[in-house]
Amino acid sequence: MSTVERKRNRSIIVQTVARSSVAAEIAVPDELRILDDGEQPPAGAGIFRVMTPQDGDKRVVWERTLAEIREAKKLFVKLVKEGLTPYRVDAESGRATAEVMREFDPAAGEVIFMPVALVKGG
Amino acid sequence: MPTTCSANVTWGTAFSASDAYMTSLSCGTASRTLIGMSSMNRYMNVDLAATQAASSTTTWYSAWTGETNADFITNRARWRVDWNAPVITTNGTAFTLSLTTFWDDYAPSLSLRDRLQAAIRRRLGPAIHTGRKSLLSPEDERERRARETLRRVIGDGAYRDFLSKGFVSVQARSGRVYQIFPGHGITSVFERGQLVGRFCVVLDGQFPPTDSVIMRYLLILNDERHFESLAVKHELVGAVRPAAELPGPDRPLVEVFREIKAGRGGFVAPPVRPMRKAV
Repeated sequence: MSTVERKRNRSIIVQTVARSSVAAEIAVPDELRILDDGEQPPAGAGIFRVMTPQDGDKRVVWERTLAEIREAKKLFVKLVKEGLTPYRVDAESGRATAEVMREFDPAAGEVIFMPVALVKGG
Repeated sequence: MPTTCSANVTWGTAFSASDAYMTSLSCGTASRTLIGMSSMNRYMNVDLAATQAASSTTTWYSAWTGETNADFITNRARWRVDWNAPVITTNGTAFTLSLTTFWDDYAPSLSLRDRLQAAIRRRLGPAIHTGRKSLLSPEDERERRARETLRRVIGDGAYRDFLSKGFVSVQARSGRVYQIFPGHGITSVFERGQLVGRFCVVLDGQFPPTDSVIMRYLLILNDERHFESLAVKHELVGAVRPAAELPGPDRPLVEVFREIKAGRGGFVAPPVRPMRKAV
């Protein structure tokens, strides 16, 4: 894999302005892993599922170590800052809840980031 | 490949169709013993009326050569008679027929129990058919990822329903039920079973269709009013199409059972190969 491809794979293109091609590129820290297709997340790990037109969903996995939690929090803040809304998935039921995660929770299992700004009437 | 096989056919004294049966038939290493193949004319397409009228074996021969190739079916194989080169030798009321035939390994025919179960299963289908298509398997990688996420969002059971029905149902805090379709499909809103709204809310951009389902599902759960405020409302008139009613079973199950047991029903022969004309 070339450096350009690797960089592209390790970045999340966030588009939060409707009817516009303006987009922000957020690099995924090296400490965090991006899940390959068909790959299942390791047990106990935290996952960010980021909805993007380019990837469908980018799945970033972070383990419960201090270093990775720190990087995950940074990524969380960046994504929220770009306008994505994080929804928490209930770990027990395995279903999304109506709860929006206002602050990063290191104990969270899965978080779905949705570009609410791109939602419009059709 | 055609194989030369031999059959030993014995006729009853009356030369009637019901008396005809084939006692044995072998083909290469495979062989079958057939007992009481009384409906032989059904499978072999032999003009038995002409055969019965015949007074000699020679006439039988000519009557048989007048037939085109035909298939006849045993429990496990299909045999094809090549009427172009039959050699018949007679021995009183019995004769030996050398024939060219095909040996096809059939899938084993279903047991009586299996056939009856299939008949019952067909009857369990819904009488009302809405014509809604289930989702095809996604070829787009992005769509596949989006579906994985949807599975996490709505749970395994609801995800299975989504794949078979093509939509996701969610009950909001207000008690209203929203029927969410992928892509740019209109979201139907039901209150106490009645359609009360048709909202169109989409994701701007080239998102895979299932991402729209996730978005609507989360928005409805989180803030139904906000979802409604974003939506373009469509008219309710003409939204509900009458469902088509499928024809129900026309015969009692007991009758079907008797037919299957008698060996007449529940078995569908594979398509017959193109026939060759007799020389």
